Amino acid sequence: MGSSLISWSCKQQPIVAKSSTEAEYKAIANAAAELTWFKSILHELGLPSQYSPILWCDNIGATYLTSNPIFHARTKHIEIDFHFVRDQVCNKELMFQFISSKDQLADALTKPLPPLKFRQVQLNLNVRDLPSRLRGSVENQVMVTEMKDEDQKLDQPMNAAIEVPRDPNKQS
Amino acid sequence: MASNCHLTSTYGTPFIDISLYQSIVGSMQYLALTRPDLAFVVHKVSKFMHNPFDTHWLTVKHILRYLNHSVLTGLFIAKNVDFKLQAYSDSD
Repeated sequence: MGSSLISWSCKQQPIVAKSSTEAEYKAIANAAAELTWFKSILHELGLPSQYSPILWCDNIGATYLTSNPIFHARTKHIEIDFHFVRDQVCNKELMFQFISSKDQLADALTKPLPPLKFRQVQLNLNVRDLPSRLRGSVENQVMVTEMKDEDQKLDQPMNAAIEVPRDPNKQS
Repeated sequence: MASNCHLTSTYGTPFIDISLYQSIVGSMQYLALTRPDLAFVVHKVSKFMHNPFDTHWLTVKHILRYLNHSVLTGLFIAKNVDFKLQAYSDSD
């Protein structure tokens, strides 16, 4: 959403696909189902989007299949429930666009990538070194501040007695 | 994960400590919920939970080394003004 990654999934398809287009088409159907859910939850939260969601797919055949309701010899066996994306495209609830596989962000979830490409996709997915520290490192900070507190107690015993001991959980 | 890495469940020497493999990979599955960069490799090594080989264990150690060096890496979610939904779909 916007530039943030909010949902992802990497799973083996339970059905055998006869062609790459069919496999992509099934992946599209799964992604479209997820998008439909997101749209409804955004609507429920009072944030309806005026744009229809865009689904990027790197297979031209599958992109055509979503918009063109023709039956093709190689696609006639595809289960009917996968074709619900066509209705969505017809109603302009969803848009399909072709993306070259070198810009495909979902690549990181489907195949092992060479290091350079992996870094690039990782950055585009917004996975990066976080500026703020996470919980694991807070423990060290707490220990340091506790030690400082103890030092203060040694220096000024009267003041230290009045100070309310800090709750380590509140510091995080 | 190296792009020429092929894991198979047909040949190789079985890894001795199966429960160690299972517990480490099981923990990784939780980690993959917040780290999309791990999703694929964890999925890959999870396939051999029932009968891991030494090669699979090497891959798991590789992932652990990667994790060690990327402890502070995480998913960054920025404040947004537009709620434009985009999805990327791919299969392999």
